Amino acid sequence: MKKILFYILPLLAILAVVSCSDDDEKVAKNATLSITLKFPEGYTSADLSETSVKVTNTQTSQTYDATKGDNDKYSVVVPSGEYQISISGQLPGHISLNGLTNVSVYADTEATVTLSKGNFSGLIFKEIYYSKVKKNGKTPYNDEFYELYNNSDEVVYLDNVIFGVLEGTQGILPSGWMENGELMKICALTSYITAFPGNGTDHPLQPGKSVVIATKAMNHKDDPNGCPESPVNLENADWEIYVGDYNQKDVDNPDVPNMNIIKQIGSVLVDFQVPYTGNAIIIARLPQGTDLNAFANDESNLMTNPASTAATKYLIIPQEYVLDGVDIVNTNASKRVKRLRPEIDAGTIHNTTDYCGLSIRRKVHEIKDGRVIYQDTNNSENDFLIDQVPTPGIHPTSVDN
Amino acid sequence: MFLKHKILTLFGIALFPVALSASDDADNNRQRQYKDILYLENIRYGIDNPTSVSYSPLNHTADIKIGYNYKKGDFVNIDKSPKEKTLFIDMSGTKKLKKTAFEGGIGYQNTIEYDRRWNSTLYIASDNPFILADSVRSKYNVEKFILNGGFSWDALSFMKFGIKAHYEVGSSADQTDPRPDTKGMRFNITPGLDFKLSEKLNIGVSLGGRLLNEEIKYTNVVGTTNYNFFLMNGLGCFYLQNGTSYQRRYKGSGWYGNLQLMWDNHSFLSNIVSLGIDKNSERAEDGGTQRLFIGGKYNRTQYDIYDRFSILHENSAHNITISASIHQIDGIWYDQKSVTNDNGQTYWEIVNSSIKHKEDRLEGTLKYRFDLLRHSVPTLTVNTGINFVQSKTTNYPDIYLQKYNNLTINADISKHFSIKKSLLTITFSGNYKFNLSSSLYSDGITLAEQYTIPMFDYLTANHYGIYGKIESKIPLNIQKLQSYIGIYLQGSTQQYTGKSIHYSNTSYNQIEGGIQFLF
Repeated sequence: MKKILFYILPLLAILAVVSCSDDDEKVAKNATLSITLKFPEGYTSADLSETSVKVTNTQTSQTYDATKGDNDKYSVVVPSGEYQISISGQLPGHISLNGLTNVSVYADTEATVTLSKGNFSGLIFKEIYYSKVKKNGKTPYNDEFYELYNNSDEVVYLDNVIFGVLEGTQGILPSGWMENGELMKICALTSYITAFPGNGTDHPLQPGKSVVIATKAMNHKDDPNGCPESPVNLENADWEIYVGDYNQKDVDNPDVPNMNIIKQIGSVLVDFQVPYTGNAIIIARLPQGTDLNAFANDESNLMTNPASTAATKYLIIPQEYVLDGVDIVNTNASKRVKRLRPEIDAGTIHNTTDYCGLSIRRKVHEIKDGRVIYQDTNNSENDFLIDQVPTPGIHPTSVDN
Repeated sequence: MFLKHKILTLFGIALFPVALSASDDADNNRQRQYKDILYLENIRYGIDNPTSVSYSPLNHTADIKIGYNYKKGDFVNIDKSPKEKTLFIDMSGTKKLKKTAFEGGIGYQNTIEYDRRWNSTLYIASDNPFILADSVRSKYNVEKFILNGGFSWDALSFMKFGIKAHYEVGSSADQTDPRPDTKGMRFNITPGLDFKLSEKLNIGVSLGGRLLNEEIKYTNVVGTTNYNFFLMNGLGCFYLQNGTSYQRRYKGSGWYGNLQLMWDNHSFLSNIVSLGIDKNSERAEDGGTQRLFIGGKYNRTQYDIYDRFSILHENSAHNITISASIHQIDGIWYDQKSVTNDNGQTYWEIVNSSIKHKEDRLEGTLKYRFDLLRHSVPTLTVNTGINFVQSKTTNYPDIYLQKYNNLTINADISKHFSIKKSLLTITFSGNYKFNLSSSLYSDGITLAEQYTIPMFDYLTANHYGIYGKIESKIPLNIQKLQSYIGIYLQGSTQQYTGKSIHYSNTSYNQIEGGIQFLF
């Protein structure tokens, strides 16, 4: 009997193993995501050009390009997961069409993305230098500038155009300005909210011309109070953001006109700045005749963050007044927060490294009679070049591929 | 520093069996070849049941070893270091009393690993596909502290009860950005029983549990450079994170059980058969507690069978061992969605789970050992063995596939020379590994050239190895304490004989020397 056990036990073991190896297993699978574009009234797919349909896994940040098939549907094969569909395209007359939606894909899935006409104006961000540098490789040094450009063939007036940074940081928490799973159609501004002065026609900007706004209008490279690591000389900037009324440490260049500060919210910083980790920035124009100071101090235009218990109120700019916006995000992929709706910016953009002393610059789409026309599809990922040597006030002489 | 405190605090516990054993066991030769005696005269030796120490043929053993090991060569897997230096100290001992037997040991290792990359982990299972890695070659300093102990008690005339535990802590750090700082702990505890069914037949059972905790923190001293962090998920597939820092925690748990049947005719024949099952699970968690993100879960089920048949005569011993194991490994991926609740708190919600990585592995070994004995200790030992490994790994959803069958044959011979009361042992061994068949489908894997293919080439590499060791044990003239001081020197080389461009003309060599104190 005992000897029999020696023979039976191993055999039983083998049988048990074999019988256990055929269990049902749910393995990761690919699925086809079919995307239908829903156009605004009066437009069809035939009107759309330079279309980009990207599908991004919101968990892994893997991005896939969808390809156009029959019946104007786009499709892509992706691993199962949670995705964001981002669409941008151009309509005749430089009108951008964008759409953004989230979708779960765990089997072959159909999704419809509603496209909206992008906010388009002649006035756009041509170049944004936000990365800053570090003095002696250690201390952050603010030498930022922001360049606005008239991309149209008509005069644009800068008077009362608002320039500001959206509320929020680039971190692990998403934007709190959400409603029904989508970003609200507003821009909540914080910190120093600036605007060009003027009565409406004081500051014309000709077609093909730009203005450079400096946080500090000085020669950052050579000035003894500057930083040798800085790549920019801004002593001839067109405008300066001087916050001396709020923080006496700021220094004014009397030769450069100052932007107005229409409101200050949150911590009183030494300077206006876009964080080195990035954040969304916009330019906006309120309806003609609006008193900006009154607007900024009207409680009905101020709102707390819906996802926060903090009492701080932020200045709300309705999306319809936004002229242009750029969704600058963190270089760290796990800390990127999208803050602008696709009608303003369907993508995101960032430099490769922090404190790199490099800027992001809009691509040149074409040069017409010597006038540069920059690319503007309302998608910063498509429209901008990263890691550029800053060139304030200088426009390329060739088209970017 | 904390490791040194633990060594000092637990030094006495580890040597407790030794302290009790000062004047026992007058057999000179058996003591200095205690490892051979424990193997030859205890059919339960090496079995995962804590009661096996009760059957030790020696009343006590004590062994303190200090050694230095140096390894170098390019015939090494891509996530291992081509050059290592290790200093180690090991202390172990056993002691049998009337109804109780004890075993214990402590150990410390300090290793410098040069040019290591593609794996920042320390204690997770070697077949866990969810590895956190960077691609920068760095110098790692690895420290490990090991503590184990157990006892077995004759609870009844027909039953023994035992329990043993193993505890290990370690840290690994490198000084090149991005620099991972890894701290880990693993612990297992195994209670067991041994029942005497008859004069010749015993049955044993043991059950155990294990815990694992490991944390990896990547930081940058420079601060502004962003690095790529590879969240591997099998066969070189990965998700990429980019930044100046990254953090991951592994939490693991498992259980295992073994059933043994021992037969001994108390003459010259004995046999043990053991069946075992082992389940292990390790979960990777990324980010801080504020927004926990699951980076994957590793599950392994393992079935083992082992049989050793022993014929022990006065002048010779024959041992035949057959073992086989089946490993079923699943790497589970969780699809997660960022959700904000009514309180404004944001977290990752699991929406779906699926198997991303799957490995089925079969291993089998057949060994034969012959010992020529004189006065019950070996003067000559010959070992031969053959080992077979079959593995199939699949990564979904793109169904990347890796398959191979390997066969390894090995043989070694040890000759022991008694020179008065001293012992000189010379050992030579050789092995050859054949790859019987292999296939790899990796089209589309981004890291195929840097990771997948070189790793496949290593796993399926044909190579031969040669090993040699010389050691001496010289008695110490300490009154009432049988003791020996030993010195040893060993070296080995593995030479690649295949056709891979990644390993062409490569080898891996090691040399180790040390001193030993037995009593």
